[in-house]
Amino acid sequence: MEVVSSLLHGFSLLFQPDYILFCILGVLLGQLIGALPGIGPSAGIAILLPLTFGADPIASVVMFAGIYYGAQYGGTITSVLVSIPGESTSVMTSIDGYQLARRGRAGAALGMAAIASFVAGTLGTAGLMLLAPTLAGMALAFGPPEYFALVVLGLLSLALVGGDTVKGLMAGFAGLMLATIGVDPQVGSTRYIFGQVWLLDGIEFLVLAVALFGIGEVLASVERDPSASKVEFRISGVLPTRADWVVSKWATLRGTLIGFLIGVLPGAGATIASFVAYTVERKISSHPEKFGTGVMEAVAAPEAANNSASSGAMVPMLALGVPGSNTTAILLGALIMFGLQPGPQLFEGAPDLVWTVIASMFVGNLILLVLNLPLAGLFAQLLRVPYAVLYPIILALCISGVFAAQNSMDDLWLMAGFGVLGYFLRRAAFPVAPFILGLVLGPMLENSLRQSLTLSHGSPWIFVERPIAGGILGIVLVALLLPVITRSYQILCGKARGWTHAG
Amino acid sequence: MRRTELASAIGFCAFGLIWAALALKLPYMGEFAPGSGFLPFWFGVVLVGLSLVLILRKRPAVAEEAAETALPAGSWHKPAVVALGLALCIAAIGWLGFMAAVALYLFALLKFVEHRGWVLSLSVGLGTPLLLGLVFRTGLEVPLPVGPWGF
Repeated sequence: MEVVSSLLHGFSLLFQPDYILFCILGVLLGQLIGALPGIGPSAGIAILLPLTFGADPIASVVMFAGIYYGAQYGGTITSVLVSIPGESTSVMTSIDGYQLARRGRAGAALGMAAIASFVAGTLGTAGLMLLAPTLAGMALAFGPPEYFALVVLGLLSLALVGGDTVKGLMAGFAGLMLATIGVDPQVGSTRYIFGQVWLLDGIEFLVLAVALFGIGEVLASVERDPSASKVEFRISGVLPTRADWVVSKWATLRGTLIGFLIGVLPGAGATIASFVAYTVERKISSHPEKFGTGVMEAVAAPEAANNSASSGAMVPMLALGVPGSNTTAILLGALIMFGLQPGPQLFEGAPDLVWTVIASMFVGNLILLVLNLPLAGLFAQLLRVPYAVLYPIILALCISGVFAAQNSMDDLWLMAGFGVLGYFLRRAAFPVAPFILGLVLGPMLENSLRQSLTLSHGSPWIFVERPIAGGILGIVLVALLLPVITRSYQILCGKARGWTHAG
Repeated sequence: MRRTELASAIGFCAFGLIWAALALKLPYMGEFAPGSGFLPFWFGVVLVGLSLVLILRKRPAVAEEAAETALPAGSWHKPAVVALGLALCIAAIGWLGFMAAVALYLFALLKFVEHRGWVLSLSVGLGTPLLLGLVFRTGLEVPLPVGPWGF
């Protein structure tokens, strides 16, 4: 009851012209920031932070929160339309979303992403409101062994993304290897930099994503016969159909739950949430072979996961004063800048701010849906532009986005090189998403493994003795072995039937 | 197995071998936990193993796959031109600045590679870097390289 009355109080404060305006501004800015490669929500908030010196703290935090979840959807737009994930959280969406766009269903894919984002954002915010203190306590039970197990679960998707398991694993391990370039985070020594100072920071996710997804796709597309790649465009198909919603509703709910629970874990983030949601959806699907060719639930699940994860990431920030992601780390800095003390006492010390921000998340998610459902068809109109005119614009966007990330000309050269690699990978029918997955998950895998073994003084049993880690690794083992066992059983049964008939 | 697939598998195999070999120069184990070279070594070994699996496995010829991936002779020319142009554009950015280099590249692509008209080529070629400059430089205060003319 107290929660409901606090929320209503938050709504009453939110519905003032200033706060609503900042909420809308945050959502719109977030979408733009998410759509632009090179600028993420954390960078966007960091850029705007100085402008809010002296401003109303509630209005500012409402805007920043809007940027955070608005960016999740913004990254989806470019993922679906031109196969360039604007954020790492949109990589999984681009796999099937872009295939849907190529079949003339860009509007439906964007519309489904908007609906899934709204459902997940709303339920995630409700979870934040009701469960923040409890979940924050549970999140403290996650240590390096549990993070290692979670990353291994995320890496399971390497074998599932794309049709060919061996090729998916090869690309994934190549990504894991690229992740070892730079400074060893445990001991500080350098690895694989070949004397190049600019490699000390390793290879930036954005460079590889834009190169493999953007440049590689452009090079492959200009090679194809233009008439064969013409997109069928039907005005009547610009929004998801009832059938789309029927197949996606459970995927949306599962993605919401997975995203929220993983988002609560400090450091895990929406990226791994979207990987795990995709993996789970593909594993339990009755037609897993269709994943990667353009199935709606493969868009709904990761979209729901990344949006609910952004709500989940607010849980440790508000309840414990511990950031759940890069963006909430910046938000935490903003709260401190405004003279507030994040942590368990924030709910008591600044209830107006907390409940207005929570109320704004409900309203902001609704604004995202109201804006983007009609706009889905408009965004899809971009695909009417002849590809011969579109791809130069995409190339310009790639160049500016990659340079904007770190102001590095070396990154542009890396982008060009990996772009050519992405083209050859496509020619050889290798999936490119696992490359990105390996690059993103590699550091977390290595850090958590080494920290775990340091904790256990070298004993690998730590991964089994801790129940959460052991449980997650058990799920991974079952997921890996079940198809093999099932197939072996089918072969044995087939042989037994053969012997019976022969007898 | 198609030639591109075989070439890719050999490339991955070589990558894995080199990575694993370089990893042997790094510490393998620390006091309790793996050292800097542990995971890169085993990643390399696994990649080599997977590459060999791909090279050696037999797959039945699939007509649709072959048809989808078969390309007309000389079709790689256009991607090669686009990629070369991209490299030249990047090289020119440090000298001409973002606006001029990208404008020239886009104009060249539209006019000489895609054979579009002057109006379209000029408007997209000039308009796109202008718009991007507005968004990144002015809107987001992200510096883009400037040429000798101040833009």
